[in-house]
Amino acid sequence: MPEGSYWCPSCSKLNATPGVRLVFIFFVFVIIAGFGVTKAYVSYLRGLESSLAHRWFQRGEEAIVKGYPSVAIDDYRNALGYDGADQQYQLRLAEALMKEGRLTEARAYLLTLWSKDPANAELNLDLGRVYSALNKPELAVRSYRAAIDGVWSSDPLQRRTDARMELVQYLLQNGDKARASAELIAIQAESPDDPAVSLKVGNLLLELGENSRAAKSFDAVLKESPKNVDALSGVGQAALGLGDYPKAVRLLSKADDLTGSKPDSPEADKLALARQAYDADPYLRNLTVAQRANRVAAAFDLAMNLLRSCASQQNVTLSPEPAVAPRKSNTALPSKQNGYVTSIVPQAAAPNSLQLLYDSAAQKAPAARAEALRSNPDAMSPTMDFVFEVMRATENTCPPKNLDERALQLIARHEGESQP
Amino acid sequence: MSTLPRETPSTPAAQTPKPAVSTPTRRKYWDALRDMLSPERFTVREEQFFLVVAVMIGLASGLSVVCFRVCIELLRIKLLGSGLHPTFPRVVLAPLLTGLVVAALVILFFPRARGSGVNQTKAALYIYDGFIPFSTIIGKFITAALAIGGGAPLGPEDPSLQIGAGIASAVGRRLHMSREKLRLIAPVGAAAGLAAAFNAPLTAMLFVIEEVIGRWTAGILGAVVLAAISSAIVSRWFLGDEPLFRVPLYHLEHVGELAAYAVLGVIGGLASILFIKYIAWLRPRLRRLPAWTHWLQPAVAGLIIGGIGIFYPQIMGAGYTYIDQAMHEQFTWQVLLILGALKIFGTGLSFSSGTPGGLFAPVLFMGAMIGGAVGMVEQHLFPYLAIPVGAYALVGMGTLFAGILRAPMTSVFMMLEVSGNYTIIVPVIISNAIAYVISRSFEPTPVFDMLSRQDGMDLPSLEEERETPLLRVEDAMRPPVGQILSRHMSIHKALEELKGSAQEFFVVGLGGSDWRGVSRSELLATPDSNQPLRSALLQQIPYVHPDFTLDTALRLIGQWPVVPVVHRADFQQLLGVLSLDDIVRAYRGAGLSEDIADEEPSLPNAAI
Repeated sequence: MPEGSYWCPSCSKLNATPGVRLVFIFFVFVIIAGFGVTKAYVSYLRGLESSLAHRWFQRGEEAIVKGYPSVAIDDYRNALGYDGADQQYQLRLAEALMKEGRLTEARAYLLTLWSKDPANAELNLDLGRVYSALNKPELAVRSYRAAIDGVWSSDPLQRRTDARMELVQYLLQNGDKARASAELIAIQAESPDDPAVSLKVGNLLLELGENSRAAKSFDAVLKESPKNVDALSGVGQAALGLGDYPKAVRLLSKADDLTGSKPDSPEADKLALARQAYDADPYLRNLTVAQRANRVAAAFDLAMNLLRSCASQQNVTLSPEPAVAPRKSNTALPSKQNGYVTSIVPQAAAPNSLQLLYDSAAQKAPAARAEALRSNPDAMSPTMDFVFEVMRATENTCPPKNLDERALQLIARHEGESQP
Repeated sequence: MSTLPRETPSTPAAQTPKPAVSTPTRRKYWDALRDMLSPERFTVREEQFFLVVAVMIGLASGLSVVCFRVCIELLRIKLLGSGLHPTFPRVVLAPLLTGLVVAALVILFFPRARGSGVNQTKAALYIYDGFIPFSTIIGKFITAALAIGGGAPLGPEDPSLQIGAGIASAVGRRLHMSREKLRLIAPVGAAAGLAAAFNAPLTAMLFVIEEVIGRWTAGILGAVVLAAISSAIVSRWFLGDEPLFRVPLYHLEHVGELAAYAVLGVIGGLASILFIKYIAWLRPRLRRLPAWTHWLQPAVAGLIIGGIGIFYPQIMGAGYTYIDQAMHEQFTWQVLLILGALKIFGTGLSFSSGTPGGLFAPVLFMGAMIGGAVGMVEQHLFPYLAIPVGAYALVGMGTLFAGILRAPMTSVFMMLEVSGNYTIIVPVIISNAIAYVISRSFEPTPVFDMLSRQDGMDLPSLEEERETPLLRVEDAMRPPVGQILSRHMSIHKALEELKGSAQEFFVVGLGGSDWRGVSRSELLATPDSNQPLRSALLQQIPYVHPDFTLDTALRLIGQWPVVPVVHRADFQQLLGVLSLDDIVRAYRGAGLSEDIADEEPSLPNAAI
């Protein structure tokens, strides 16, 4: 027999007896049967695991509904133990971890899910929330933007708007007014016909001081629902901020009437403010010289009273004598007797800003009387400038309390914004 | 007696009814089939048949390991409950009772099922000519499934390796394979079993070649590859493509990260030493206890594990779910460290008590926990590095794999195969290398070799073999001084030249690859001493090259006193000569200290 090409019993090579061939064939059949047995065995396990996963997941859902996220976390983990690839389980676990405040763990799961589906808007939204809670603003904003631009599983328009709103709230919390404003404008453009959205956007724009844009939002609501109290109130407030007091009074009156003219309602308060501002604003057109002079004089008196009350709050005594400017030498002056220093006399303390304003007011007072202003209308503008300066100086330390002061502050703000 | 009528033209054959398939056709098919199956026709060489059998073994091992893993999971659900955290008293009773059952089974019926399975497979290869009893497969399957399913902190991979090896051994014996093939078929099955257990064929192949067989040859490599791949295909078909744990995204952003991984390598190396020393200390002590205690040791170990499991159930079982959680920053660094330490303690205790089960999964668990803890601490200290903790956990697994099991190449490829991310390779290599060096410096004996020596077996240490440099011809050859003759010189001239030489055998190059040898006595016996040397009776002798191993040179040198060492690109360029004495001296010299070895003179190249 040629060596190597035949089985040789005597030379320790494989012996191809019929028995060996039968063994080989039997082995093949065993493998085929083994596939069947293994398939049945694995199917049984898979069925059991699937039902266990589902059961644990349902328990987790119930725990979340009942408000026990920590219990839900364990349940979701158990579910994942049986079906680790299920993305819904992973997502729900991540959300439960977020609810429990375990943000780092939540982030890890979300990132793993995100790596498989980076365009998933829900995932990006959750990531945005996690990053915002972890105080990582740039990553948070990036994730929110990815959510806004991403793919939503359902109701994309509404959910995109909601995500933008959430981003706006986050930006406002972080003091990023410019970006917040840009997002609000985008929302306005995308959802012009949604009254609820328009109202929300309008109110946020009012917060940002974007009164004319806010007015547009509220006008969009009023087009569909002319008697919408919130929209009327909003557009009235916007008009107030824009200095259009007649319009503000008109619209706020409507809103007040619709709420039943309750005296302690916000609408009533805003209406009263608008009326007061209308009655006190010396810059209104169609005022005579006398009327304007009276208003300026009244504003000046109000500013003086405000100075006095603010000084009193801060326990500062306003001296009727003008304040002396401090010397630039040593703070203490020695007193000498017979050439010897007998005592150190401390110099008088530097006057505060209130005192300086009071002194200035005292000097301006004669010219700020109504009669003087009537005869010298040119003095009205500098008098009002002084009034505004007082309002600015006391805004933070002594915020206005009564209606008159609030109205004057409103006028001051409006005039401050409108001046170049 | 009537005779059959002859067919005549008056009785044409058309009148006889024909059968459905004509007899000659049926007989023709049957004869063809018999011919195909006859030994004379079936002339497949053993090597080819071996490869076919390797595929069959891969399929069978894959099916067995799938059933094994399913069995473990079902037992875990039944014994410990369906939640990840077993409730009391299951958490204590399950490992305790399964420990009792497992001990009884091992002592009474399946003594060879004890241990991890890796050493047992090596023993089959080196001591028992590839023989693994079939009962061992059954015993390993049952006892390891019970132990791991009942909560013992051991892994299913090593038992899977032994199950695959056992199947292969049984098949090889039934098929009456040659002794050489029987020795090799067990590792083929081992690779198949491990590939199915890990769902990672490349890792399995490398581990078996690196740790069990210890050499790379084309024949065995082909069989191992086929078996591992077919086994992995079966495993993935039934159990899916999903990896054992989900690996987080990672990419290298800052070079400083590599220093961070170096620190992990140092810590991993120290942890590896701790684990190896712990087993080296505990296992012999438990085995030396009275024989009756061996019935109770697994149960006592189970009780202790159960007690720990009340507070830290993560250490029970293989722990892949918790490796996944560690990679996803689900634990604080303190908890990670505690889990790593408890796993070292628990695994060492269970393994030393004789509970059947493997070390792979626990080593990966320890690595993930320790790596994760180191990562969290480094993240806190160096926040600008911004490395995800999951990456540390991943690298940590490979680090301890290299440090404890001393399979660095397998470790690197395992990380690649598991993560599918090639950017992780540099940190893995750095960390592995450091851990390997540290572990080897403080504990030169690898853990599997240590276990086999504790069991009274002296199996070859493949790591030590790898570390031992291979001797080559260039390490043994010497200059051909006084031993080379020119073919152009006359015999008389040659004899004149050789007067001062003590050599008795000389080499002559005749051109090309033709080298001849002649002894002094043959030269003296030549009648006409004026004829050129080349016309004398010169015997053709083999030649060697400097890069040949001494093993190859030994086979070639035969009975020749001396053979020439020639250049690979110019066969007539003589670099030296080599004799049997030179070879022996080189082997002896390899056992000397470095100082003495340095005193050996270097051999210059000698050109003719």
